[in-house]
Amino acid sequence: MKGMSKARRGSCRIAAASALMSLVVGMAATSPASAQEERVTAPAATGVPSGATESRSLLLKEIGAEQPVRLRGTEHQIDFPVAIRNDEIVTKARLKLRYAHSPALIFEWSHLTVLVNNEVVGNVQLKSDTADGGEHTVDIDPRTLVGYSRLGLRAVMHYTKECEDPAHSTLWSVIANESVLELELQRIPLANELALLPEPFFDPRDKRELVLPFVLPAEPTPDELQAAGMVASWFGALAEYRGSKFPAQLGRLPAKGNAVMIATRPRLGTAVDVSKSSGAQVAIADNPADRNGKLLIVTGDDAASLLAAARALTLGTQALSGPSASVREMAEAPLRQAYDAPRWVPTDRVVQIGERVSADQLQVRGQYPPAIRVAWDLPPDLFYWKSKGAKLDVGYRYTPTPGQKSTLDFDVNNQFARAVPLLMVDSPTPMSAEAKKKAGLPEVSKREKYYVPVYKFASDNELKWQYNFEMRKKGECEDVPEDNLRGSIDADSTVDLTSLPHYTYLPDLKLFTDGAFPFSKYADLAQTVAVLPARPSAAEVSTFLNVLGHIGDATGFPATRLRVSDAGSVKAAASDADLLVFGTPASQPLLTEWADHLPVTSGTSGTQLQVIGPVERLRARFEGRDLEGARAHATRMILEAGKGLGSLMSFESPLSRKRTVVVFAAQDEARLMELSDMLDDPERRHFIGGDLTLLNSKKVSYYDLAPQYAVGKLPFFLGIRWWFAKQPLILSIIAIVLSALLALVLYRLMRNLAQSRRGGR
Amino acid sequence: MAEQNLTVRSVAPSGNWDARADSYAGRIGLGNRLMLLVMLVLGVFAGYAVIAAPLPLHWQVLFAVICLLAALLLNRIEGRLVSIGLMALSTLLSARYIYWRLTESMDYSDPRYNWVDITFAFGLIAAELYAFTVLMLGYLQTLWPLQRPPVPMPRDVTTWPTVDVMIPTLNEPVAVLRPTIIAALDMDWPRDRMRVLVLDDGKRDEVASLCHELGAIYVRRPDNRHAKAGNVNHALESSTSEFVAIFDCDHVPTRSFLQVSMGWFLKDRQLSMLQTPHHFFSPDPFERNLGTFKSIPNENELFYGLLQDGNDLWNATFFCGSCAVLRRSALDQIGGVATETVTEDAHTSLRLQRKGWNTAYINLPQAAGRATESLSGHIRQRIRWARGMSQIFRIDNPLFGPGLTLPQRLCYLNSMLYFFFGLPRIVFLTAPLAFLLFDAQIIIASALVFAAYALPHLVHAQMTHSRLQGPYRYSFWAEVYETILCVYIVLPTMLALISPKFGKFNVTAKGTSRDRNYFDRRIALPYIILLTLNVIGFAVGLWDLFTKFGENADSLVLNLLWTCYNIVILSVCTAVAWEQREIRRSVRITAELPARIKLPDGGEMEVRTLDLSEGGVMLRLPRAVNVPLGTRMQVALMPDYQVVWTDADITRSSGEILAMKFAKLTLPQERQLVYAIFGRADAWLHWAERRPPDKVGTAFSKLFSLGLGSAKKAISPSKR
Repeated sequence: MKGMSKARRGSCRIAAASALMSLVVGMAATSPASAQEERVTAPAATGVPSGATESRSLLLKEIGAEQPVRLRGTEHQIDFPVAIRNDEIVTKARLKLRYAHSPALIFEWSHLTVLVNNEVVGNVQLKSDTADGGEHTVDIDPRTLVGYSRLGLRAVMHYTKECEDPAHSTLWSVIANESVLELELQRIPLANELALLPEPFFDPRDKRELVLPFVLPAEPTPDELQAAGMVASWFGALAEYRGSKFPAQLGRLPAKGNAVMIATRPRLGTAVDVSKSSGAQVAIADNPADRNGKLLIVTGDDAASLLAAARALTLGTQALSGPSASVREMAEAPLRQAYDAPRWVPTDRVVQIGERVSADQLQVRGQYPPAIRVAWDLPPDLFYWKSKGAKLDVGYRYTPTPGQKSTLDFDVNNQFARAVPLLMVDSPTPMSAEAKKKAGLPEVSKREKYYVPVYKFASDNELKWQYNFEMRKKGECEDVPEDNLRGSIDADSTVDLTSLPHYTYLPDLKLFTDGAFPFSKYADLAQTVAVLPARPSAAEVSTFLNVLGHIGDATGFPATRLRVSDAGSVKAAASDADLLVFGTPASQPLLTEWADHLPVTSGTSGTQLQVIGPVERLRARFEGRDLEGARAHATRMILEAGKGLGSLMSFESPLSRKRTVVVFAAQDEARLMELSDMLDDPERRHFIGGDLTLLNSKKVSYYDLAPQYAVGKLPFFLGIRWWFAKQPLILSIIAIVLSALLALVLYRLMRNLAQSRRGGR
Repeated sequence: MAEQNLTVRSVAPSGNWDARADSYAGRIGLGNRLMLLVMLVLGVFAGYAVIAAPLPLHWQVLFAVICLLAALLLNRIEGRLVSIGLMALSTLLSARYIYWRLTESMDYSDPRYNWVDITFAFGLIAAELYAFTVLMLGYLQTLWPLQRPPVPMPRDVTTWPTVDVMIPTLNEPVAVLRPTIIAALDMDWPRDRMRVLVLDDGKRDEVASLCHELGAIYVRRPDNRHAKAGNVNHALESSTSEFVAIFDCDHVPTRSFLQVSMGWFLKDRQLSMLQTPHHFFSPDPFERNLGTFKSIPNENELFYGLLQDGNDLWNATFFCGSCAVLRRSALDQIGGVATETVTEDAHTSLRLQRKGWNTAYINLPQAAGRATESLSGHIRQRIRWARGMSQIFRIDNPLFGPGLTLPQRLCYLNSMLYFFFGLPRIVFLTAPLAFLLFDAQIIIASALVFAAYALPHLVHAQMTHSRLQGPYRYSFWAEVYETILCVYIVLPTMLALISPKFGKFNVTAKGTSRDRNYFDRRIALPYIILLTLNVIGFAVGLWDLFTKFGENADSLVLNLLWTCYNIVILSVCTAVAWEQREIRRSVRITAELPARIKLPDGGEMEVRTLDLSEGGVMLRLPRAVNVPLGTRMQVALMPDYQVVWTDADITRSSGEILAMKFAKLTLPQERQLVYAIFGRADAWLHWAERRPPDKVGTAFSKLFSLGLGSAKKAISPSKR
């Protein structure tokens, strides 16, 4: 998933809303910041000389080789993407290959070739003593590695001088995916140009996790936090699978690197020289402490214009240009509908595959083509019970092969779902005239409808179609690999999930980890309120921003309608919203106010678990949950952690029913930030779930302690079946009572009818 | 004419519960229309929940156990209210099973299932849907047996209508005709308002002289078109009576037949037909070959004892061709007896009802006849009925067309659908073999889950049927009756559906040689084949169970149990094919009747009969008397009715038992004898009195022992 899959590509520019915005861009004059309290101060310039080089190693595993690279046949090439950030250039590049190959090759005719952007940069001769494993280093001209490049590994292999079978099993080479591309890079400062956004703050060519400090005034107001959250979620959406972290710096600039600065103009401080202007403004400036670093400045005269500037940045990015842009009018985007997050596939209508992926990604060619992959993210609250599954209507085209066992395999999340045999030419078995005619054509096209059972679907899914073109042996010396084979999936193939209702049981932190549910239901977070302490510390703000980044990634949309509030005003603001609560017991009053609702409370008397009443214990036993075991384990975790306990909790909002509160709480600030880091950590995020997740220095584990409540709507008759499916006793009573009532009614009716029949008519 | 005291045979009444529950229902307002509407709406949703909510295995078991316990407790209470309640509960549980079956056990989308699996599976589900439909319609049909009492005739005899009693005959022996004609002539009805006509399609002179001798009218028509229906229609042309009573030539009426039947016609001007039961005084092939005469209700009793009575509530009683009275004007309106199908009787009443006429049923046997002689005869008869019903379904479908109310349509439909049991019965007999022998996946569900859903359906249906039908048919015997016929009626019914002209089959009888026991191998061939298949399947399944170490154990056990059950049923069917020799050809009944004998020393003694036949009588004397064999004495049967002295020779005298054989009878003597055997009004009313009530376990063990006996006979056939 995050950090592992390289499948998501460039689908996430937030462009839709900007068309609806009116935006005036003009040259803006800077104004000297007036001296006021709460300004941002700059650290003493430490000055890293530009031109310093940084070394970076990229394993093949990290750029797409999930498995060791297997090259087969007489000639086979596999490409890997290498992308270099716009603000870096490569000064030195070297590929250290580790490889092995078949010992039965003719070595004077067999070699590996390394290509960059289809230009040969090195050849490796295969030798008999490298069959078990060899190493070779290829120097690569650094000038070829610019922007998006392709590193190609090709093998040419032969095993006999006559009558060679191009699919012979002895024609193989394997290149270890631990092979490493070593680069030395130099930073080059880019121009301060808003049109380059989101570069250099976020460069899609960089596959590493995004770490972007946010600079806010020392005591940020809720509106500043709101703007920061919006921008953080925007960056999180851009970062996608890479993950994002936003360390907050309150009242001071970072010593090095890029940062985002958010404050109302009076509180900006003198450290930054922004063109004098009024109103909402977005600008890029150099980081005074580091010439290679840039600052993205979002500012405005007051709260409203600050938010307008943030909206302009996140929704109207394309309209910005120049080192600074003034925003005259920034109307709010229309309200989002439920479940319309751009990351999610719509479930209220039939969706064509071509809507989610471009047509050229649906075509493959060659004897051993790569898989066709389509990302298919779904809202986490789909109710799969008793559903037949997703209805697929897939059209596919391919060139028939001489092979006998060609198939098209369809997998969902790497689990096999269906295989379709492909037609072939010159089939040894008799084919109908129509099939022969079909097979004789250069292309065959078919369409099929089938159901995929829903247990194969998770929150983020990958649909994968793999064409397997088998080679048929024509005989000695006649076999030639086909390279004109093509296969494709029709862009108008559809997936239909409309029969699935939205209904799920909360609290469930797994849904929060996988899809930021229930906050992501409205992609702009219109029904979410974040509650921070009145004077949040940097760690608390970082946690908040990291979580917003995670939510942005889940929705693919910036949180333009998020509200930030403190504990005192939350009741008024949030009677009908889901809440995100951050803080330590010392700083966040809600942690003590709502102690009765929290699964774990930390007070002066130590940390303790919520008391579970006898009714709840009985119900847990009836439902088969081991409440006692869970509580014992949780108690041990709490004891081991002591003051270093972090807890991620979720429960029904005390302010309104069917609303959820998710709480990030710890006594130690480092642990608090770690809670938000966990959400992106591929190893630890699987251990987040239930209604209580505890983190100590060694491990993280989750527990289902509290009873659950349902959110969403079920169709009426499905609802009847679902509810009664858990009530055998009531069902049997209903059956008996219904029979008795029917008997009473029918008895009278029949007796009356009998009497009239016997009375004669 | 003496007044007859007739008690209506009825289901055990229990006024208490029914009346109490009824008044309670009245008090909570169930009679109120609004209340009923609210209840209907709630009931639909509640019913949907019960039918459609899928429970996981352990809870479905809990649910089933609770329902079963409730049903067992309620079953202890007698009365119609609880019967209807149990029917409702059984309906809910069967519907639940069918819903589960259709939604959760038929997922063949996985490509590992091939066409073999799918064909078997769809065959089974079609058979189950058929069984479910017939179950529902059956409950509707028997919801409230009407138990119509006879209406007494008015005192003024001059208001009594005219009746022509018609006895069609083809080639039956004269000896069979004699008692029928005698009894018909002796029926209690004004002489000037009744005629007895014998309609002889066999064109025999001896029948003509018989009629002349007895005083009946002999009718011979020029041709034999349309068999019995044509025969009757021809006689109707020259008949002017207001009513027509029809008797098969071996159905002997009691004296009170007309007095019992005709009253309703005067009370209900729209009544076109009144049917009475066909009672058999001789054992049918099942009873004879299995030795169950009088201890187990015979196959006939369900239809005449319960189903026709149930039909009567819905005004859907249909004509059965004999022991019935028809209104002439109604018959004329439909053009006489229907001739388009081979079951002209059912078709006739269907037509009458389409024209708006009523029909009625009186559940008192007022005539008795012989059952079919042999299994092949029985099968031949049923094939004809099945074919005829299928023809009616095809050409005059009760679901469509004018003139019928919905319950009437459904009752007729049920009677016709019943005869399509051939294929479903074969499917049920072979379904487990599909899994045991071919490993076909006929049900895509775990065997335990299947059992948890199917067992309540089967158990409650069995329990409810035992309660409703107990006096008339013991548990599990329906399967035997159906299995006997299933192979033979498949083709006739299917072909008749395609075109009514098709489907005529001749089951060749082996000849009714009754002097020795023999095994009718040709008739029994299908049962033997099915039985062998099931035994092979059972053996293979057992082998798999023990060699595959518990893989699929639950499916195997389920199918093995099912196969076991099939084996028992098929063994009993094979046993029925062992034709037992019939020692006695003439009628013999067991009855305790008053009689008087003249002792050789001149005195008279009042005695009671033990049994009575056309040939002789066995008497029990109040004190021992020794009479030498061969002595001729005189006996008067039923002296309270009329004293007619008959000569008879002693064949046995031991203590209080005296057996005598009649000498040649004069006509008055013969008439008295016919009265004593057949003509008494209560002749057949106490037939079933000493039978024990149905118990599911007892019925099954009886079948099991019969099946075992058949196996023993097969292994070591003894010549008796």
